[in-house]
Amino acid sequence: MLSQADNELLCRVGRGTPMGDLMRQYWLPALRSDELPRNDSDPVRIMLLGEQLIAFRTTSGAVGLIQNSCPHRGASLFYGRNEEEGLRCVYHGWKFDAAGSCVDMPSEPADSQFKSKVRATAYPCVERGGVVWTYMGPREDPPPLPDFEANQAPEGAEIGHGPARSGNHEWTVFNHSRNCNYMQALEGDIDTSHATILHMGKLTPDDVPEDSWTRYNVSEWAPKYSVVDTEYGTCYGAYRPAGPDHNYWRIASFLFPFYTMVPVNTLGGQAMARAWVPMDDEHTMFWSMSRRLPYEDIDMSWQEAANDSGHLAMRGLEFEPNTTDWYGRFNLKAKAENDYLLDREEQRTSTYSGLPAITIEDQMVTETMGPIYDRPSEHLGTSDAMIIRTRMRLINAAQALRERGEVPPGVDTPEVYRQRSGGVVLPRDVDWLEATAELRKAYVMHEGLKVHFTV
Amino acid sequence: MTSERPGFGAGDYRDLPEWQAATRFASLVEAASDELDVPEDLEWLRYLIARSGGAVPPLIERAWARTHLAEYLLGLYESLDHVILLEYYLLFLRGEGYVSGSYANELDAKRAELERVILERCDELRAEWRETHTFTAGMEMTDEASLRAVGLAE
Repeated sequence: MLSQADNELLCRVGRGTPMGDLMRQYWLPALRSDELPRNDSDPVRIMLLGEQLIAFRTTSGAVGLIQNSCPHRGASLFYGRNEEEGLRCVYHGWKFDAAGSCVDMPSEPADSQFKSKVRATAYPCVERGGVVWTYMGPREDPPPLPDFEANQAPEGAEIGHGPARSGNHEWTVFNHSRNCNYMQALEGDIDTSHATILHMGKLTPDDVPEDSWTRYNVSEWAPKYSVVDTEYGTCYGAYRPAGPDHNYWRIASFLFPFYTMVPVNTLGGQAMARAWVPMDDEHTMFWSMSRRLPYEDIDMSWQEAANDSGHLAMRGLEFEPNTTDWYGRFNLKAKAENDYLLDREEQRTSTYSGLPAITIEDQMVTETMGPIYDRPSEHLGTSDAMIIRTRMRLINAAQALRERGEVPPGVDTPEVYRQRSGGVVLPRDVDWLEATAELRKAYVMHEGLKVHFTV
Repeated sequence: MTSERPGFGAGDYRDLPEWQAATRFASLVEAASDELDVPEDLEWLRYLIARSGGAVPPLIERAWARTHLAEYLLGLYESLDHVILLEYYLLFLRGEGYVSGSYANELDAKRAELERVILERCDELRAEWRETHTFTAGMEMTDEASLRAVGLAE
C-alpha cells in the first residue's frame, strides 16, 4: 500500500515531476545503436520520460536526439530529411544539427541572423556497448556514464540481440516494451519469491537433480530475506535451506534509478544489467545488457527436459515487426489483446500459468495490474520487504532532490554500478554480505567457477 | 574457523540492548494499532502492523539461540525487515490521514531509534565476524565441500 500522493510521486516521470526530475539526473538508455544502422539512415521516433523525440544519425555518424516538434511551426521532424549533418524539416526547410542548433533557414532572407537565435531541444548522446545513452538533465557538463560491466563491449564487437545467454554472443543487448508503468515492471525483478510460483509452479523437487539449485527453490516457496540499503540502491539476499549445513542464496539488486540485477546465474559468473526505462507514465522499455563471462556451464539438460515436458515455459519469444509508431518498437506478439497466448489446456496439464514463456508470464502479471498500479489498494507483507525498501529509497531520493537539491545516489559515482548478482550456496556460519563481497564485484574473475543457470 | 556460541555473545537475550529496544517498541506499536481508527477494509493493515511490531523481539530471541554469529546477524536483518515495513505502513497511514502527522512522527522517531540500535549491532557483529574469519576470494571457503558447493572445486 502506498498513499495516492506517494504513488503519483513514485510513478509519474514527466518533466517537472519529482521522479521525472530524479531520472533526468542520470544518463538514460534511449535506443539501440543498430536502430540507426547507417549514417544518414532513417530517423526513429523515441518516447522517453514522456517526451516525444526524434533520433537520427548524422552524415559523420554522430547521434542526435531532438524534439519531435519543429521549433518553427511545430511540424514533426520525424518526416525530416536526414542529410549533410542535420535533420531538415520538410515544411520550410529549417535544419538542425545533432546539438539542436539551427544551421539553415532557407525561408528567411539570406542576410538574416535569425537561425543563430533558434535552437531545438536536443539531448547529448553517447554510444557505448551497442546502446545510445542520452542525458536529459539540467547540467551543462553531464555526469559520467554508469559503469556497467555488461555495457563495455569494445567498438566493433558483435552484439547479439536475443535474451541474455541466448545464442553464442559474448555481448547482448535485448529489448522489449511493456505496457505499464516502469515501477510495477521493475518490482517484478526484485520480487524473488514469485519465480518459484509463477515460473516454476509445476516443478517438483523430483523434476530436478539433487544438486541443482532449482531444487532448493522448488523445495521451499517462502524464502527468508535479508535486505540492505547500499550506496547504489538496495540489495537483497533471499535464502533457503540447501542441506543441513548450507543455505542457497539468491542475491540481487536495485540500482538507481531503474536498474536491476537479478539472480539467474551463479554469483560472480554473470555480468548483466537490466533497465526499466519509462517511455512515459504508462509504457516502459525493458533493456537487458549482458556479457557472457568465460566460465564453464554446468550440465543443465534437466531444464530442457522440464521445458519439453511443459513444466517450465522456456519457449522463444516472438515479436511483432517494429513500426515507426511511438509505441512501435520491440512489441511482443503475446499481449493483452490475445490473452498473452494463454493455453488453458496447457495450464491444466503441464505449465503452471499456461503462458508460453517466462518473459510472457512476467509481462502478463505486470501489465494486468493496470497502466499505473493502484498501490493504495494493495496488501504488502513481509515477503515484499525488498519492494518496500526500494520504493522508500526512490521516494526519499526524489524528495531530497526536490526539497534540498541533494544529488541522487550514483549520479556522480559511476563506480557504484560495478556490481554482480546471482546465486550462491554458503555454509550457515558465514555472513552473506561479507562472504560474497568479492563475488558481488564486477570485473573480477574467479578461477574454476562454474555457472548454474537458474530461473 | 567458526564463530560458534558463546563466541558472539553469551548470557540472557533479555539483557541485549536490541531486544530491550524492540520490546519497548513492540508495546508502543501494540497500543498504536489498538487505537488505530481505520475502516473495515483496512483491518488487515491493523493486523500487519501489530504482527510486525510484535515480531521483532521473538526474532531476536530465536536468533540468539542459534549456533553461529552469522545466524544471529541474519535474525537481526530479518527483524529489520519488520521495522522497515512499519515505516512504510506509517507512511501510508499518514498519507491517507488515518494518523496525525505529529503522532506519526513520534512513532516513526521511536521506530528509527530501534532501526539505529539494530543496525549498529549488525555493524559491530559484522566487524567481529570479519576479524575472526579468513577469506578466500572474499569467502571463508576452506573446506572442499564448501568450495564445491559454490562451484569453486570439482
